[in-house]
Amino acid sequence: MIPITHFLGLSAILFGIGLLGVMIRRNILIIMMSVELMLNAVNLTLIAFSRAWGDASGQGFAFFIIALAAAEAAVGLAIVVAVFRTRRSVHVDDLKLMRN
Amino acid sequence: MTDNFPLYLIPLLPLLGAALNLLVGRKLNRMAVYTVACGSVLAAFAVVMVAAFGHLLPMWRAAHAQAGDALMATPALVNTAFEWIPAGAVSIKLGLILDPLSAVMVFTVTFVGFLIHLYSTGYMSHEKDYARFFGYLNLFTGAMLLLVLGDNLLVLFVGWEGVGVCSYLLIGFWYNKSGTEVAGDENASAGRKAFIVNRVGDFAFILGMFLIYSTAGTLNVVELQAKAETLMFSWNPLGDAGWLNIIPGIGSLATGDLTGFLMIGLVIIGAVLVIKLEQWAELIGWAVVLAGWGWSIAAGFYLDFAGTFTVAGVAAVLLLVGATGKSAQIPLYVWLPDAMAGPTPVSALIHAATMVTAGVYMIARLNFIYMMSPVAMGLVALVGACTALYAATIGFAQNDIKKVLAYSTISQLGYMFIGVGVGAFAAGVFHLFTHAFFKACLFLGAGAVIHAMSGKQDIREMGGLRKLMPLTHITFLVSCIAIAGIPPFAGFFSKDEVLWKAISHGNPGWPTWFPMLIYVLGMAGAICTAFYMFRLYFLTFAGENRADEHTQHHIHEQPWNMTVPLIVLAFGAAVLGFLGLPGVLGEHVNVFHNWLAPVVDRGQAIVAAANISSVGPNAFAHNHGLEWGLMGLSVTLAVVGILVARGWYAKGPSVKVEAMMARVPRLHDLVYNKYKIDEVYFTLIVYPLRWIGMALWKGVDAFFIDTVGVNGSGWVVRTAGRFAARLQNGSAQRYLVGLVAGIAVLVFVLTMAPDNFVIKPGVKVKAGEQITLDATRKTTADQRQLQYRWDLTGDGTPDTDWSTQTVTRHKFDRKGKHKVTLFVRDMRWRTTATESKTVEVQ
Repeated sequence: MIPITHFLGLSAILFGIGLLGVMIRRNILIIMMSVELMLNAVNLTLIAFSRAWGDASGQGFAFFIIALAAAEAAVGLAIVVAVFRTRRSVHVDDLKLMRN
Repeated sequence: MTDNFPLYLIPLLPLLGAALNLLVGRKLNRMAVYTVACGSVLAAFAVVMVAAFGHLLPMWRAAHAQAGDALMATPALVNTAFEWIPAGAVSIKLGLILDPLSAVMVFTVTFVGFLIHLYSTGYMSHEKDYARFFGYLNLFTGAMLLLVLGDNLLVLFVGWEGVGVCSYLLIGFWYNKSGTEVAGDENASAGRKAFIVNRVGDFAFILGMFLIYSTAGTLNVVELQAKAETLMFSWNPLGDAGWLNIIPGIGSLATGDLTGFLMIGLVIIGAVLVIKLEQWAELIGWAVVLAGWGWSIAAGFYLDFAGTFTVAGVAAVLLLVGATGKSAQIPLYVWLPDAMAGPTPVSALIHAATMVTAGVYMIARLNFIYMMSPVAMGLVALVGACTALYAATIGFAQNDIKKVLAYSTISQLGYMFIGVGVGAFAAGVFHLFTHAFFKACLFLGAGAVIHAMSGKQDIREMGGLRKLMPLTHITFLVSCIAIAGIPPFAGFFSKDEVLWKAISHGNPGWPTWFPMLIYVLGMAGAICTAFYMFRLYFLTFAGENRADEHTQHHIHEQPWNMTVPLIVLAFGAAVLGFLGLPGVLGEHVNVFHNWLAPVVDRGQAIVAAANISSVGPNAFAHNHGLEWGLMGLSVTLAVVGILVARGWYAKGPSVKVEAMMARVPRLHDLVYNKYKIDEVYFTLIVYPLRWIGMALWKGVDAFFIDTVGVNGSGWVVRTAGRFAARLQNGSAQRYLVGLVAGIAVLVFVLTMAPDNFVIKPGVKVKAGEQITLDATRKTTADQRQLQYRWDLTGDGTPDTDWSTQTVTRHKFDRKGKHKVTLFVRDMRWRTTATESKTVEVQ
């Protein structure tokens, strides 16, 4: 059997890549992908523990997160489309207007 | 005493006049302003007359009849306007009192004041700003009346400050005469000088009041008389604070010996020499300063082992300092000559007849306090005598008609101080009374002359006015004779009584030669007075006119409203002396003294009851032959002074006199420049103060407060803000970076193994003995799983295995210091830490 630490290690790597993407990329679409990556890293952790301890509630949480991620993607992409229509750009550096 | 007479009307009427003229005077025409100004003072005078003759005189007569030859009860009208400062146990009332002393003063102020107001309507007839002028004059009169009538020191002090303010306003009345910017104007600075110099004296006055209040618990004069003995409270601060002796004369005050104070004269003379003209004099000057000061200090230290201060003595000296400011005595007289910058009627009103007499009045009013301290009395007399002679000599060389009169005023005030200083309070006040008439007359006459001479004030350009202004000439001559002390004019009686009292009064605490010293100084001043007053008279009125034709053409007598005051005042200067006939003519012929006796002899009675040896008549007092002789001497010397002046100046400034002055150029220069006292003050006081001010301004205010404090804190906030603003740049991603970095730091800190352990024991470990080492964690709030191992040999590598126990046993073989190290490992996070300790093995 594959030890749980391997799952957790993979999950941490995925989460780290996602976090890094959110922090350094400037394209909103890439950032949203990175957020998906982080959510799925969490899903992986939940499912790994669920399997390791034979408890199904972890898998339940994972489904919730998948559903939530779908909703988030839908709303997020809608915003991106709206922003693109007004500004002809999906670059986050162009979206600092909350300041001032 | 009665309480039903509206005394408050007396100061209130002129104050109302002032309010009217100052507030709406600009909209009134000349006649209305004149009427308000003169009318209010005249009304106050009428009230004074009713009060004095209608009420006070009958009371006085009744008290006199009752007492017979003994000291009579004080007749007085009292009137409490309202309670001014009610503060718990402290209750200061705005109370007024009209007793014989204040009656004399209010009579003088309102009567002479009214004449001067009347005169001013002529003198200021070309002045555009007449409403302001007359408003100030009324304000001044009201303040002076409040000063005189106040029944406690605080009310007196309000008037005291009031006249000071009005003096400032009136001296600087033509504050832009030079046409330059106001800050640099001579007249304005003269006003400021008067105000600031007076401030110095007022500070001491306030301290004196505090001292009296804190000791006696009241400032009311009548109550103070009843509590006079509490003011004899004495203490010896010099026992703890001998350094106080560096203040010249302070030791003398404690011991009742005058020597230290007399040495102050040396200090002053030395200071003059320092500032004076030549190198050598500077050296000698400093030597004299140090000698005088040193002597004063030494006298203080030497005498002061048995010495104690009395409240009365210290308060009297403090109040005296206040009086020297207001009454223009050494050392605070310097403002008065400069005060001649004001319009001439102002000089007559403020700087001759009324305000400057405030100090004399105050001392006479508080005679019982002064009588308790012979040293303070002696100091008053000494200040007066020195001033009398000193100012008179300066009068020799002045060429400005008003400056001569200014120094003459200072000198005459010196005689009043001699009078009150030797315990002859009635004589001092009598001289004040006669002086108010002849000096006001002289000033108003000088004003008429200046008016006629188209504003010229230099007596060398005058001459011959006898023919051109006969009426002014007569009044001026009468006043000159009066001030020179020729009988039977008023000045003779008052000045001679002062001088006679100076030599015939004494105190066991005074050196035996002290009355003689005062007398000689006063007599010398009297000769000088006769000389310089007639120098002034001859140069102004005798000979031929020396002015240019244009000026000559304008010389004329003045209108009735200027001549009437002159005539009335000259009449007073001629005959008022008969109110105070000398004692040689009989026991009770001195009407003036009899009138004042219930007030001014009260102090004598109080100190006699308290068994204090005070200033009083000495061995000479009943020597009528001596009194006649000295009287003859003073008249002879006055005549000599007049004749010398006539010989030198009857035909104007002569070549002979010029040559004489040229023979002693340095002396003449020194006298002409007022002994360079202003320069001395500037060097010793004003410049150092300016340096201190400059240092405080540049160092404390400009650098510390402005640069470091205000701008500095602004700079810190602005700079911090600039950096902080960069953080909030609107980029959510950067916020996220900060968030992640913060989390990383938190994780790192929270997972560190703890190293806060105390290792025991640290000392008193025996070599070769098995001991137990234990480490205790200072905080155990968390539930961490920790393991421990020890390095006991000090080589850096662990000597024991990981264990959950902190305890280990060890035996140190060698004596000395050993380093032991505890290694700590957190089981969950696999982090480690160390804690070291030096163990001393014996």
